[in-house]
Amino acid sequence: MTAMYGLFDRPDAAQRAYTGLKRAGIAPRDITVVSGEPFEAFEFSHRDHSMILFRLALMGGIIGFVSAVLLVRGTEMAWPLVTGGMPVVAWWPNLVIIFEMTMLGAIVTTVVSLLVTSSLPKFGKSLYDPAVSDGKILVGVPESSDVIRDTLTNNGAVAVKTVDV
Amino acid sequence: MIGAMFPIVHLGRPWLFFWLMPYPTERQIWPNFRSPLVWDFFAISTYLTGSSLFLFLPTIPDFALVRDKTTGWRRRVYAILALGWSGTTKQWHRLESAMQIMAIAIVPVAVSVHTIVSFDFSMAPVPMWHSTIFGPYFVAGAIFSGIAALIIAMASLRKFLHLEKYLHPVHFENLGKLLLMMSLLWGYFVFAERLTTWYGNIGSEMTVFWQTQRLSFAPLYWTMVIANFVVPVTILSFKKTRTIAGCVVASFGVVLGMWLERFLIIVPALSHKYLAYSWGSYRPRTPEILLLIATFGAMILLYVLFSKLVPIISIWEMKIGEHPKLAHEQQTRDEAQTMWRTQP
Repeated sequence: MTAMYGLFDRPDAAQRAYTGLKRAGIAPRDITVVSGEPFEAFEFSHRDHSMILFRLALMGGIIGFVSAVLLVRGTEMAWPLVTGGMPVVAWWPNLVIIFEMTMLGAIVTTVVSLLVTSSLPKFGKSLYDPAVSDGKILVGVPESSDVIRDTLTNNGAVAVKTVDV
Repeated sequence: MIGAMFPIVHLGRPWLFFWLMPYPTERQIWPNFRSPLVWDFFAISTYLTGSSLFLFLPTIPDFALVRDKTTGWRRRVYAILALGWSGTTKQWHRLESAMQIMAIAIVPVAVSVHTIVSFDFSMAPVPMWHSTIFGPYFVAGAIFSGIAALIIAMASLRKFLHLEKYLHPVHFENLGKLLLMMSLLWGYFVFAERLTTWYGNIGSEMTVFWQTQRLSFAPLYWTMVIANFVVPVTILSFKKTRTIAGCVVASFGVVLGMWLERFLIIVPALSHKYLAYSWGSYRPRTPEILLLIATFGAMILLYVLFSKLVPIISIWEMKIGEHPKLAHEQQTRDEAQTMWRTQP
């Protein structure tokens, strides 16, 4: 598949190109914007907002909590030795383990969720140009046509390129 | 990493440290979760995992930038570290969400790990250790010495890597204010601990107490008070002396003072326990002195290697600092154009 993209110097030019592509009938989900830094002040960066990572982190914490409760209670009951005059299932010291495993569950789930939802690691071909590292902003679509080229050029693209992805 | 090494060194049989891991022996005996030593394993593992990931996440976009700027084997290494990061809006949003979660999660984990390290002492019936103040005392101490080490590291990087453009005097001044606050908090905790011990007047505790106040450990104790409290408060209370050099001098004092604090928690108490027949004296031997030097050396080596291989100041986060200005400029320009159009 041949994709076409334009490179922009400024985020407001990238925003104009993004708006122009939408007006040209391209669905927002098909427009890729790649930058060397996040641009929260512009509309193109708002479309992927989601609370999914927060929900997954909470779920990871709950899984960690339940696993810890099962681990400490299950193993203490499996070999019921009295230690230091404490009950066999001593919740005060067990709370330390439960807290740590809850937090570990939330932390690990956050990182795994970040990788999965961001499609990382990804080492194949993708819509990318090393000029992004020099501060350029890439706006591209997974198709090429004269309309797209004109839209990118008219909105201030310093270069328009095609690439197989 | 250096901190995590010490519980293992002190296990007695360090080669069996894996017995702390939560899996059963062939007789189905699990680690004893009621033991502070096992709490250490869980706390340090969680903290090490969390802080390593929290360090790694914001460096992914910078690794991608370095990948694009290098060639050969370096490019391949940084390409792997960058995980194929391109910088789509979705990736940026997910990364920022993940960093928000990690920033929230790492604070209670940091508090817990330092509290649990204090529990290693306070769960033991040793004079002056069995104290409820040890948890917050250790947390405050960790933040205190952490800020001091940070100031020294920042000043060193600023000087040797010529980062004057990024590390301004105002950063040191603000960290100096934070160090001053922590110095006062540390002084308050020490006063509260000493006053309650003195007022309680329990024989075994008073033995250790007087060892540090007036007897053999008094020189070290008062050096600690001067280094942790008198020097930082004197230097950092005044704007005139809250300079980069002033902050660095105060920080060296704090690093020395906090090392002495840990020494004075351990040695006087263990050498003056309940029964006089067990009293003894302690002098560090050559292997212990070499271990101390080696840990300082290892820490400096790891940090220097890290600063050599990883962008020591986050590049993309520095760029974000320019955005409010950019957005403000755009807004001002739009407003000006609107006014120009509407006015005759």
